[in-house]
Amino acid sequence: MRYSKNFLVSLYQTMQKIRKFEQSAEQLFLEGKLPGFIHLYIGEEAIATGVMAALNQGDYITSTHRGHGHMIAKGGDIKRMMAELFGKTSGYCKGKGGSMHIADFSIGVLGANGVVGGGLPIAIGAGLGIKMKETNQVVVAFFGDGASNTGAFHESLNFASVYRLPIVFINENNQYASTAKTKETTSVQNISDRAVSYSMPGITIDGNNIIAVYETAREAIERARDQGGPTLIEAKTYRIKGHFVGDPTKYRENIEVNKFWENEPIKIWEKQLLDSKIITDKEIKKINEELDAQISEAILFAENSSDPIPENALSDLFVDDAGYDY
Amino acid sequence: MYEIKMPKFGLTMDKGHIERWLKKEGEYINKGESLLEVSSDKISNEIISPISGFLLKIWGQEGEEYPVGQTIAIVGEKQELDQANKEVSEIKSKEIHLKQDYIKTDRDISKDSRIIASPSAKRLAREHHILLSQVQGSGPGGRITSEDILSFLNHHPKDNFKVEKLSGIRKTIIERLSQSFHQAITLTNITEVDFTQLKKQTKLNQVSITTGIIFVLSKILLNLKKFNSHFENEQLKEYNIVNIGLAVDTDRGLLVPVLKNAHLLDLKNIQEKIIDLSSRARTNQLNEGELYQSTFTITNLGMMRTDLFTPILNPPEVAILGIGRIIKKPCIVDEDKIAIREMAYLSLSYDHRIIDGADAARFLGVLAQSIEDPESLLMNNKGVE
Amino acid sequence: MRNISYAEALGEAILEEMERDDTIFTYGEDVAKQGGIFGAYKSLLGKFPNRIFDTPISEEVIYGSALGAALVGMRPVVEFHFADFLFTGIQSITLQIEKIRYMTGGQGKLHLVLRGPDGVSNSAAAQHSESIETIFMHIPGIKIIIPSTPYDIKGLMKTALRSDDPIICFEHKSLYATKGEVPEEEYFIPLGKAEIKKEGKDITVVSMSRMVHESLRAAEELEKEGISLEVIDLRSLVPWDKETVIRSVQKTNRLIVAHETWRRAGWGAEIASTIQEEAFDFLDAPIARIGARNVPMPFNALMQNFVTPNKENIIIEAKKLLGR
Repeated sequence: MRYSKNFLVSLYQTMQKIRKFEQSAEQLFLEGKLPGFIHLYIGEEAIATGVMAALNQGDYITSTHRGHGHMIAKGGDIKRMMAELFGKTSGYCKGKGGSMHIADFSIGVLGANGVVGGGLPIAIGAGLGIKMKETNQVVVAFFGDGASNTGAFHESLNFASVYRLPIVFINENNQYASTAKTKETTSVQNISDRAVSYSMPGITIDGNNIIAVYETAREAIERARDQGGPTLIEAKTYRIKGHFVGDPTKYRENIEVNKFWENEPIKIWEKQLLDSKIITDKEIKKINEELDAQISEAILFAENSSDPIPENALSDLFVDDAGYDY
Repeated sequence: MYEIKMPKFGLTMDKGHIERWLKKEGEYINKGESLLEVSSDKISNEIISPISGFLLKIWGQEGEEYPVGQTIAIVGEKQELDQANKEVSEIKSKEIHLKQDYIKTDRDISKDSRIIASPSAKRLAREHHILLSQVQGSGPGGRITSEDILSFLNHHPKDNFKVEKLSGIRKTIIERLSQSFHQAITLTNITEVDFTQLKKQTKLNQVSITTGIIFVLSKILLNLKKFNSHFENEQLKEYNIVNIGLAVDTDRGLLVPVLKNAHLLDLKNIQEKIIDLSSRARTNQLNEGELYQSTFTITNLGMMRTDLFTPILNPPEVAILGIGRIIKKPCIVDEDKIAIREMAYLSLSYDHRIIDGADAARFLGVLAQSIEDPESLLMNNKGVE
Repeated sequence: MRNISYAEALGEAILEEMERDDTIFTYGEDVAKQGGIFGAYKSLLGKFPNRIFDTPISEEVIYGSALGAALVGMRPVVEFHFADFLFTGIQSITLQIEKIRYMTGGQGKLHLVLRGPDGVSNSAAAQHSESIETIFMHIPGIKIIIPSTPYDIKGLMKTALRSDDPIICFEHKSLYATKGEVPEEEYFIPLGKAEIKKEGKDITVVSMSRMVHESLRAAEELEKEGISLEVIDLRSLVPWDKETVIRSVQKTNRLIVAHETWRRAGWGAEIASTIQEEAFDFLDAPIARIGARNVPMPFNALMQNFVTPNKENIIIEAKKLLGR
């Protein structure tokens, strides 16, 4: 298939934007500037970028605790994201959610989720809603390898299959469920094998290959849009960083990590773009400078934003809180 | 360590009422400084500390009565505090004072047995100034409930007054007037008297009318001794001296200081003494002795516009004279001429068991005559040394 | 006025609102073809076949999907089959529905209704008899309605179906067949508004659901003995009508809170505590709590009836408060 230069470069830009955002977040966290804890998407950027490239603006996604990448790829505002990491009023959740609960319903991001597998039933509901409304929207449910061992995963795939819901399940298999090795805790070699049980297509792809991700996702998304039912895609990748920033990672050897740094998606894609002369070094440099500026601007915005007043904790629970006792 | 005890002001005092403490527990006091105010049935006095030291313990509570001799405070050095506490607990264990005499508060009662009342009942009791101890509880375990308070209120109309503790003086007044009322059979004779002459004479001598009356009265009482007597324990004591009790209105109540040996005093002496006595009565500076042993009492309400009243006896005396307002009136004098005279009513109340009506009439007649024509008596205006 | 059953009134409310608003749809286990295992949806059989459907036994997805559907603009009504089974999908409610609006800084309107049967019925035993409304009162983020009559369920359900907040509705199994007056014309009952079912002067009894009827029976019996109960049906637990209860306690000076759920840390404790905080000076007696004994529901009917509160418990407690 042939793609425009703009499209191919935009994939690079998005992946790099995610990478830079995450690296900044990591740095800020290590500097003690960010409260709570954050889970980094570094090394997995091709999945969010490739899938989102195949989605329409009106489509929905449910995300995970490792959700910054999904949010950025779906068009999230990194200024408001960064402000939320700082817990500021100008953040996406006004400081009430933090890293793990960033959402923007207006762009179809139905929330990151702190519960492993927690987004899957929500995606089912969105799918049901779309079916009821009879629109041609699609839902993509992102979830990790760990979530594929939850009841919610199995209930959701069955449910989606039974009702032929317009959902694409994207399993981001980064090979670790927190500190546990996936292959030691999962009954199947490939998580996509589980699709058989639910009478839906199951495909395993290289999650670090942006084009593979894009093309597989696009096919599944189009099938869903055409009322062809759900698909399970397993995108194999590697969680280069720890489970969270500050994870002592005693469960694996550095040598293993270093091997994956050689194979990380942005490095591969950059090389391909340069080798096939789609992009020049100069253009790459320019893109990176622009992104650096955007990230700096986001950090500045977040740092200069005001903290919420404590009493703000007592709002936003209900639309109508008359008679409700905080 | 020194124990401050309830003092005895006079012969008849057997208990004292602590009006207020002038010093706080723990304060250092110098010898001669006032410690507290105590009132007896007759008088209220400041008690002076006989030594210097710290007021270690106050045992006697304000508003309470204690028998004479009861330890009410301990003064000493700081290191004696433990011992003072021990003393106090011993005093407590003796429990010799007259607790039954004062009105118990809820707190006092709850010391013995807790009053069980619901929060609602307590609120209502607070709002309506009701002592929970007066209310019978009908709830489980005798708990007083709001219904009990409401039913109490129905049977006892809502208070529009506040209960004031009686001062020692007022208690004495009550006691003595009740005694007088219940024992003596009091009758009052009244006559209108022309004060024109007496007023003229007293003015000349620069003394008050009251001084004039006392002067005249003392001379008469020396002669009509039955009116100058005490009736007590079925005994009548007729006195050879005249001690005039002067009813004085003070802001703490009625006090009756005694002008001793009035029959021996000249006008000026009488004048000085009654001014001194009444002013010290008002400022609470009388000595206990100055409140005893009157043989006859006078009470003057004339300056407050009362014309006529019937005084009540000051036991164990058998007679009392009430003086009304002196006011100018048209009078018939000297063979049917009308003249302006200064007139006032004299009321003589007397114990009819001792004094017959005619005797009283005679006494009042002599007194009236002496007032209307005081010259013969006044000419002899001198005291006896 | 016509008399219809609780189930019929519920069906009417849903039907009327579905006719008016095509974003409303309803699903759950055994609802479409069977009309609900206790007949809650009997009157909906055959209506709106595309918008009323049966689901697999996948409770976490059933509850969680309500949230997803609401986020994309729908108004789902989900039946939870048995209140007991809320626990099998509990994370979807307690970790998702109750938190997502708050966590996202007030984004989105979670117009969804979870509804279904709860309470004791004939020897249903420990996994099918629970009343667990207190748990949802405890965890912030969902409103609770517990109607006791056909009139109330229709009025409250219609309000719920137009609300923009998540609402859970508990319907006692024993109530579905009960009948009551329901007007033909449309009406709504607001949340947070209690109803004084019977005025009285000696003791206020606050209850909900089946226990409202037990309280009324107790009141009737006690009336003969000269004891007058004021019976209040809270109707909604979040929010609950504090003002009405306080006003009543200010009059009667005594309070009994009666619920079928366990006595220990049941919602009665919350009511009792609030009243002692805010109306302490009006109390003539300790606040009494009536609830189930603190054991799972036993199967044997004798034991079941022993641990389940009823009008006798209310009568005994009322007399105790009055020292009789």
